[in-house]
Order: sequence, then structure tokens, then C-alpha cells
Amino acid sequence: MALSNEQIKEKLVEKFGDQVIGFEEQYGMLSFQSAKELNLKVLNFLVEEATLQFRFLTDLCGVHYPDNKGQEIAVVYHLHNMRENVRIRYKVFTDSAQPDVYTATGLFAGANWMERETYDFYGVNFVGHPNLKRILNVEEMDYFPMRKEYPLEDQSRIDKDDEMFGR
Amino acid sequence: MSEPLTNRSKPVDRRPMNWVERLYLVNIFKGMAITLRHFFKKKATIKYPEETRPFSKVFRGLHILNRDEEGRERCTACGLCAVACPAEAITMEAAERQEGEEKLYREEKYAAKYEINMLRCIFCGYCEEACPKDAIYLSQTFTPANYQRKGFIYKKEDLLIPDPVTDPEGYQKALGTINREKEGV
Amino acid sequence: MRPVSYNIKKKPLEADISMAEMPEGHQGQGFFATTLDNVIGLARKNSLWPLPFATSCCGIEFMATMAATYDIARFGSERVGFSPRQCDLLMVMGTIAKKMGPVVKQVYLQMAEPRWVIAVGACASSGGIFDTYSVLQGIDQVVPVDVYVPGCPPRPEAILDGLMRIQDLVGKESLRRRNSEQYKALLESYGIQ
Repeated sequence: MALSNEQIKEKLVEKFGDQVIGFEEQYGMLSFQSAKELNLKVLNFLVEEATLQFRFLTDLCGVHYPDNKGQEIAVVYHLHNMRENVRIRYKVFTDSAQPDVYTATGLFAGANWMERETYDFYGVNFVGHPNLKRILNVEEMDYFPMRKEYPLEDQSRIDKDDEMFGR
Repeated sequence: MSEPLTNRSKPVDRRPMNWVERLYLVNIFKGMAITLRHFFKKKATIKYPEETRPFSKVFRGLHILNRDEEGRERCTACGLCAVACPAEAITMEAAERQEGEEKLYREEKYAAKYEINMLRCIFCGYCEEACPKDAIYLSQTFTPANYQRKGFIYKKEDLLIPDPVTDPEGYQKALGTINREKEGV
Repeated sequence: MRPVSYNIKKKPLEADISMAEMPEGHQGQGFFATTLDNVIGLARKNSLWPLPFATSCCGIEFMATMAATYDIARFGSERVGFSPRQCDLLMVMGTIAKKMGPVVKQVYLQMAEPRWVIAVGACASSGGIFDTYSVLQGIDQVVPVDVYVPGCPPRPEAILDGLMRIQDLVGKESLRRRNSEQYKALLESYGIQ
């Protein structure tokens, strides 16, 4: 009855072959990745397949790996099967120069704001998103603050003596 | 979707209230009884400026800069507290002790300037933990409010404890209950 | 083990506010005459209606201040209004993100004169540990602040101390201050007409 990680992996490999890669299990949670062009096909399979039924998108977020040339930005989907209480993590990687990823709003209505947030902080351009604009930061902001090339600190702070902290 | 998302949903009880429930009389008297009971209870209010509440002995309030038994400043301006400070509120300037200043400073190096920005400070106590010289501690005094930002830059003279040699009275006052706790009373 | 319990040094207040206990005036049997300034100051300072703008943990401490143990009602401030039009005292408690800045300013603009502002807690006063791209480094970047209350979060005693500082300020304030050139220049510097 219970859905095991091996079963999920088997199902995915059966359908997509060697297009899904990087299977690993951390703290009992299955994680895998694929090319970014495949993301909708994989997500659709995870939702619709009768035994998998990952119908709930827990979270959608970005990660910036500045040393991973050509694949700097990862988009991570956290999916949840509520009937079996199983969670999985699915990643796609994209180039930071042209971060285009297909939107998942057609599959999950909840992806709308999550994708806006990911756009807000990492600048991932979700192709086909109905309303892709900043959600959490001020509209005047002209950069993507969670990318590692930008400073974390607020540049308007005046009451700090930079000499004290070695920067 | 026709089938429920999970198998844990519970139906809501939407039966109409019966005649007694609709009168609300029982519930009104229950509420009045609770209100009435409070008339006879002890008053909870602490009249703050006149009477104060004792703070815990580990309460983290305003900082103090410590002196040793002879009244010499312990701080050597090593900067570990400034590095440990998550709010980056501490700044200091070090200076070398001159001949004849042995009565003022414990070691050869001392803090010529030591400032804490109390508006930035979050009273986490990391400075206290980081200090290798027992020089900075937090106290049970809360930081008072002020009208302007510059009133919150606490300089060395605002932080140093009274000198136990030259000002024993003030020192006893600052000591508070600590001595009794040391003896285990 | 700490060497001492208290820091007994008194930091002087940054503005010259020395409020008399009673307004000066002429007292006799059944009457008491004083200047209008003092009477209005006395009335205002003992019936400040606070507008809590609480965004995080300092707001919880303010709730403790309002509750029975500390009882802000003893200072005439029990009427916590959530409508800026009726309130005199804007209490900003908690981290104000840059996106929230215009909201604070709008709330301030909606309040009727005379109005006062307290920044409670490290975040509202200076940004605190949140030295990041998204947090306003002190609400005095958007509205003029009268009293700052440090602490993270401040104890209810500290909030009451801030309220008493505001009361001193209110009681001492001249009726003409709000029409003065300096006050207009202050508002002008925040872009408020």
C-alpha cells in the first residue's frame, strides 16, 4: 500500500528513461532532477499517474549556485502526496544569463505566487506565467537580491563603522 | 475534484439550537459569574514607576564594563565582542597604556573609545560570551527611552561600573543583589 | 557570574524637557487658574490614544503592556484605536520592511494634528540586526519620530518609560509649535505638506 521511494523512482525511470537523473535520498526524501525543458512533462506525470498522485505543491523555490557554470540557478519543486503522506523534491537547473523555465501555473494554481516570489528573488523568467512581477520586494528594486553577486546588507545604513568588521 | 483531498475531513455540526439554548440565559449567567469572581481576586497590576518588578538575575539589559578589585578597567579592546555582535552595534578604539597609568588599566592595551549603539543592540549577550577578559557583561537595568538617536550611543563612561576603590557607595548600589546570591542566600 | 546587577549611570535625555508636576497658576478656594497651554498640555498628555502599528514581537510586548499586569490605562492610554483619524500617538512596533514604509507614512498622514510617534524596539528604531536589502533602517526615514524605545523586544517597563517620555513631551508642548516654521520645515524634509 504505502508508496516507497523505490516505487516512485521505478515509475519515473520507466516513463522517462535516462532523462531523469541525479536520484538521491536525503533524510528519507527522494530528490531528482531533469532538463528544464522537461519540467512540465515530469510534473504532469507526477500529478496524473494513478499510483503517484503528487497533487499538492508544497513549495517552489530557487537556489543560486554561482560556481555551477551554465547551470547557476536551480528551481526546486516540493511535491506532496497527501493520501500516502509522501514528499519528493524535483529540481531543474537553468542558466543565469537566460533563466527561462516553463510555468507550472497550469498544473497548480498555487504555483502562481510561488513563481512570482522566485522571479522576485532570483529573476527566473517563468514562460507563460499570467502575471510575472515582483511580489515581496518593493517595485523599484532593480536587481534580484538573493543572487550571490549582490550584497546582503542595506547600503543606506549609516551608523556602522566598516573598519571594525573587516569590510 | 470529486473525491476529498485527504481522508481526515470532519462534517460540521449545523443542527439548529433548541429552545433553552436560544434563550442564552444560562450562558449569560455563566459569564456574569466569571466577571463577578474577579472582583474578589487579588489585583494583578504593578504600578510601574512607583513599584518595580524584580528582574531575573540573568535578565539581559544595559551593558556594563567591568573593573577588577583595584578599580582598573579590564577591557583590552581586542574586538571580539564587536565581531561576535550580530547587529554590529559595538565599535572601539584601542590605545597603549602609558607610564603611570597602571592604576587605571589592567593590561598594556586598553579601550580609548568604546561605544555601543543601544538602538541597534538586541541584547543577545554574545558580547558577554565572547569576552576573554571578563570585561563586558549585561545587567538587569533596561535601557531607558530617549528623544534622539544620539542619545543611544553609550560611551565608555556610561558603561563602566563605579570604581570600588574611589566610589564604594556607588559600587554597592550597582552590586544590587549579586553579593547575596554569591554567598548562596 | 556577573560582577554587578545594575548599570546605575543615568544617560541624560537628549532634549530639554523638564515638566513641572502641576501647571503653575493661581489657586484659591474652588478655583484654579493657569495658562491655556498648560491646561491643554495636561489634558492631552493624560488622554493619549495610541495607534499600535505592530508587525512583530514588540507588538506582543505591547499587548503585555496593555494587559492587567502593567496596565497602560493608568497613563490614560487604554483606548487603543485602530483608526488613525482618532489617534494621537502612532506606536510603530516591529520590523518595517521597505515595502511597508509607504504604509507607515500613509497612516501617519491620516492622523490628525497634533500627532506623536514612538518607535518601539530595535527594528523600528534603527533596523536592529536586520541590516538587509529589504528592511527600512529605522522608521525615521519615512516619518518624524519623537521617542525611541530600545530593546529587542523592550520590556513592558521600557515601553511605559517611552510612553512617559512622550507624556513629558506632550505636556510641555507649546500650542504654537504645530504652526511654527521649524515644524513645517521638519515635515517638508519628509515630503509631507
